[in-house]
Amino acid sequence: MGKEKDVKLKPVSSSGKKSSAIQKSISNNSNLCNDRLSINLTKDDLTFTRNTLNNLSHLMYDETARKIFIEFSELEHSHNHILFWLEANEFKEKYIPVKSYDKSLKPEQQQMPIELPISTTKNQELLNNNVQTPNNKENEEEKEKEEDEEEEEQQQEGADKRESKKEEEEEEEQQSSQQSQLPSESSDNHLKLSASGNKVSRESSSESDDEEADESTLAAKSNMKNALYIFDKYLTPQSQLEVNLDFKTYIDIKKKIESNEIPLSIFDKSQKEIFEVIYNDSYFRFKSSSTFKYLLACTENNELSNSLSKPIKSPKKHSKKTSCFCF
Amino acid sequence: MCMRKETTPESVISRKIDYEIKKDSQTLSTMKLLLLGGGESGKSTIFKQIISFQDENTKKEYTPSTDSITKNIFTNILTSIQTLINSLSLYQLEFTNDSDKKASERVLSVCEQLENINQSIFQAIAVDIKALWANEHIQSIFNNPKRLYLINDSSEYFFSNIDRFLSSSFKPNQTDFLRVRVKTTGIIEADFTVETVPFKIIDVGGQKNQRRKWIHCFQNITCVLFVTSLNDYDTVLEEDGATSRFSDSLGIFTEMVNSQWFLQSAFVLFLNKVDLFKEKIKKVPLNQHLTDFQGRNDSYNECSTFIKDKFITANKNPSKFVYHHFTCALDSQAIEVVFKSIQDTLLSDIVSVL
Repeated sequence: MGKEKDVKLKPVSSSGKKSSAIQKSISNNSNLCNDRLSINLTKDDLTFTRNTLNNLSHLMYDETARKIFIEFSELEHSHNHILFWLEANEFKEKYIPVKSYDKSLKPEQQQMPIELPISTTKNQELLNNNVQTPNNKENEEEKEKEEDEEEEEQQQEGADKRESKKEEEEEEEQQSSQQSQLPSESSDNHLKLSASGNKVSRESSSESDDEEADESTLAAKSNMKNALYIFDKYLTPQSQLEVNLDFKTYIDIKKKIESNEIPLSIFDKSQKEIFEVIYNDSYFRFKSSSTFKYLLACTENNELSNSLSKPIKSPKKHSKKTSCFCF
Repeated sequence: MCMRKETTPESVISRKIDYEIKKDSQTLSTMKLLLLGGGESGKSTIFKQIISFQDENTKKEYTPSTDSITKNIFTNILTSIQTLINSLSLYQLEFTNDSDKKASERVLSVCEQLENINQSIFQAIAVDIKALWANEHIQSIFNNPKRLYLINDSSEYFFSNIDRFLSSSFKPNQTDFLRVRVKTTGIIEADFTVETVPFKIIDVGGQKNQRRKWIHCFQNITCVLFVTSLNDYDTVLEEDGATSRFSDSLGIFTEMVNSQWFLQSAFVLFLNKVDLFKEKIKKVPLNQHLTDFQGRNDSYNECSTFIKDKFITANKNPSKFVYHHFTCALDSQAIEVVFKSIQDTLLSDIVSVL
């Protein structure tokens, strides 16, 4: 526990002056061990309150507090559990329901031309802000779906418009190449997947039944890929980041993957178990650490210096904008 | 490729100097004790015990709040009863009367939301837990010498103390704290001083998936405290449900005791859970599981010596001496005696070097 002293933490001055206190290297969620970015914890970063810190589930949804917790647990080599929990959450967000797949997508078709550029600029923004890449992945996935829908439309319009389609494809490719600059390795995989998906739909006949089947296989493929990503990274005994999971839970997941059946709830039980492990073990130590005491002091100072009229933000899921890291 | 080491007077002197430098540097730095062993062997219990022998500040720093201990006790109890209910089918048994059936359903639904457990939920479900624990089928599978499931070693203690935990003024005592099972993840360090000598004790997770983290703390270890559970000769690993815990533990011991990392480290072997072992050999003959055992199954001395020898002979380094202790990690006095003796040995080593 003495190691945590390496993390240089100074209290935020109550005068409201930005303290350039922390030079920390924080591992980014999706590129876990390589992508190190250093941040300064400023007064604006205090998106968390005393309550956030004292409640593990709130803490896990607050980006800043969570990153510090991950950093802390990294020192005692128990960060793999937190990362697993987060990525399992991400899996659920990215999950494409297989059966209701095309119904849910129909309304989105109309918005497609507007959505596309926005999502690209979003990605750019996200990159600049160094906000976690999972969001990028989500956008990509939306795009992926959209691309497929586009494909479909074109096929229905007939073969004589092949020329324009090619042009569009080129555009897509350009976007794709933009995307591939993203640091996330899984984004490449997504693109590959979508490319193969296009191929399939091109070869198949224009009967709508088949297309639906293609879409659902595509969705199933994507879910499977995401599930395998987590499985290989955190669950297989060969993995460096293997989590401390009950053997039965592991076998259940393994069986489901082997039988090609990926329900939304596939990681639920393991996530629960790991949450318990984090709660009982790492979180308890985090709470008794000096880092934690420092964070508490920060929130107190912050509350004092802020006028009492300012409402305390409750932690929200997807609070993308709440974390502003200054460089 | 293969250079033969020349034993010249110079090289001997050089090695001697190297050795002395190393010894000296060790005396200046912290005494590092490292707890190793398989899952549920009792490393964290010994860790808790050693902390409890230290001064008030150290104790306060490394002991969780009573709230979290209480919550862990509730979780332990519910997990145990859940395991028992779910294991009935392994013995082709099921609840025969409706009230037990309903009670089990209620208990299992609480287990679904284990993270929300608190005093009032526990108080509400406790009647059902007690009824189920008293159920003949549950008792029969719990006492069945052939265990087909894994259950916390302290479950019986917790079930029989349920009434005490129900009181809203309940404060866990030291035994409760020692008994409660929390899976350790990662590497935990605690610092304290004994007679101005700084000590660091390191606890690790014992499951297979945790072991690859061990290497992070192998440097400059003064003393390895290897913990193995005597009681585990008939059980399998939680992490794969197949490997015998005994052979797994012996395997890691062999690897560690002969490891290059610990050439300079003292080695202490804790043959733990003696109390449970004494009870178990009456019910489960040792030679059923360790087939090369020739002694009498009902003799504690012969059984325990047999297991001890298996470990001691795994040490292939004749110049390394492995101290061993038969322990019950829950027995504070006994652990204190053992720890004091280790401490004295380590401290006297310093003195002899000086």
